[in-house]
Amino acid sequence: MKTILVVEDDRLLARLVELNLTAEGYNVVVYNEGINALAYLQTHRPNLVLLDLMLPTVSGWDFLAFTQQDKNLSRIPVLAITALARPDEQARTLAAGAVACLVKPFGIHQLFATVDRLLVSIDDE
Amino acid sequence: MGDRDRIALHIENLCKSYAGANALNGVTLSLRQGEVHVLLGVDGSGKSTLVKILSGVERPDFGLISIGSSPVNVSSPRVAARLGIGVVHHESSLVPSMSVIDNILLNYLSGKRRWGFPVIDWIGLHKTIQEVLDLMEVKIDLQQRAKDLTLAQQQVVKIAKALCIKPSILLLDEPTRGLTEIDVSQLFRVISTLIRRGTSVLYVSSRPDEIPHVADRVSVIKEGKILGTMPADETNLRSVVEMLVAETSQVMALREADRLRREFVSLVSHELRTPLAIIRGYAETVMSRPWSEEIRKECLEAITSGCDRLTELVDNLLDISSLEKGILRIEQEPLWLPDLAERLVKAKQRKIQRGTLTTVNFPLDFPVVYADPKRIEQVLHNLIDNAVKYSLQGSTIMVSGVVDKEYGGVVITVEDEGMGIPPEHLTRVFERFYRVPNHERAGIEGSGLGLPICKGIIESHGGRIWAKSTPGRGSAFSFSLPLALELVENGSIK
Repeated sequence: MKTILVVEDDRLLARLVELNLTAEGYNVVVYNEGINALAYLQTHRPNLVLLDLMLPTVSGWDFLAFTQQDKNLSRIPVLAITALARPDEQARTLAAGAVACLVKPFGIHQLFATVDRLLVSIDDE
Repeated sequence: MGDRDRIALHIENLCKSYAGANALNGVTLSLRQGEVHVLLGVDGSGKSTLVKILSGVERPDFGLISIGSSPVNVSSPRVAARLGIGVVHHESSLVPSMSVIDNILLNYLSGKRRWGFPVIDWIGLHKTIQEVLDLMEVKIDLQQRAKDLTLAQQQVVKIAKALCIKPSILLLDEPTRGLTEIDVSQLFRVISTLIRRGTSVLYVSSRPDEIPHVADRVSVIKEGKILGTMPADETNLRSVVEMLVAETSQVMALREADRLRREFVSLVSHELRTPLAIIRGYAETVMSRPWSEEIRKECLEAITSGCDRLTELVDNLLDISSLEKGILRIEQEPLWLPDLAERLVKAKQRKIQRGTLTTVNFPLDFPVVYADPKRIEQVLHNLIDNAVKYSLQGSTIMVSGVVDKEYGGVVITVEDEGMGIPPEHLTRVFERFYRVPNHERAGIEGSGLGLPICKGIIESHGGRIWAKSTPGRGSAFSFSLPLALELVENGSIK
């Protein structure tokens, strides 16, 4: 079973993603803070990270900066959940190390499609 | 009285507005006979409007124009020409494919008509044009096409065109725009020749460096007002430049309005998206699978909660708008703050996610104040939420109240041990849509509306709100509320 790490401080959004991805057959691990999620990554290798950029204390940007430095962690694809919808803002997110952006308010089918696409592309490698 | 002291043109209290915006705001100016009077101003200062009014293109809303000593009504460009006002507009140009002479003749085609045909005194006209060009000491082939002329020559032809009506007053609107340095000196020679012949020139310009070369006197125009008139040789260029570029209150207000507009757009796109994502996501979820009754209920509750968040945002926007218009309703009644604080803290403590403790610290003999309980609750709710939002795990938030005898009121403080606010941002946090840059980077969401609303509410009660902070150590937000007078007199404050 593929594992997806969800880092999202908004409880309702985190639960939304967890509920749906679990129903799709994924193993979902949720953290509300970046620092705890980074600690989790020290011992686990999920197949995908869903990362909210607007996080308290350790922001999504800090999170990306940290994982990009580590050659093992940087291999895990990060899907950014963001309210930043402008193309230049999305480009900045991708430049920071995310492989794709999911812009709020996203629909669940969009969520599934993006997650599937990213996980399939890993299988191809 | 010498010729030079005679007034050729006098403008008194000229006003003009477009769609409510004042372009001219009571301009008074006189042009002496035989002088070059530079009217100096940046774009949008009203100088072009003045030229349009003097040339009969626009009508003033108010004010008086006199030529010599008699008031005149410059009702159209033709009337302006008849009154002896020649104009060179900077935006007008020659017809490129036509010859110099034909370009000049265009003036006359729109002139007097008899049986539908323009009446032209060809011999007299040619003589006039030749005289004008001789006067200007320039050699231009009258048959040459306009497009083959240099910019300076074109400018000279435009002036020649204006001079054909033999004006006593010549308005030059930014005549050097687009000209090279050599062209400019040629133009200045033409102007000085005209002056020797007794023409008066109102020279409209945005370039202070031209003053020493052409001007006898200078008037500085800004925001439709003449800031001052002085002889050119006494003009300190630097002070003129400073006068021109200093940001005025109006410009600053516009800038602020523009900032708020941009902030508002950014607020809407950021703050609406999370609750919208919740509503949309859970709604789609409910419909997507045959979930258990329990999960369906959970989804519907989440949708309700998303709606609540949107409602709060809309309420905040309405509050801000009411505060701006000064129509926020405050319904004052006796209020004992320790009760309110305790109730709020209890309610919040359950919701606090990161284990932050909140303690209340009020003296037992805390006096009653007259205030709107809902509004004060809103303020406390906001301040506590902020403290929670910017706090670290396990740190303490303290709500306390003291009586300030000197002030004659109470002071409530919400203190946190969070990331704090740098001093340069401390006063700005109460501005609408203002967010401390650090916090934005740290990824904490916020609309920038909460504190401005708190400020509005507290000030509507006659109180004050302020913040103290040490970056990295924490912040303390305090507000004061005055005590009702009779309470002070009855000795409730000991």
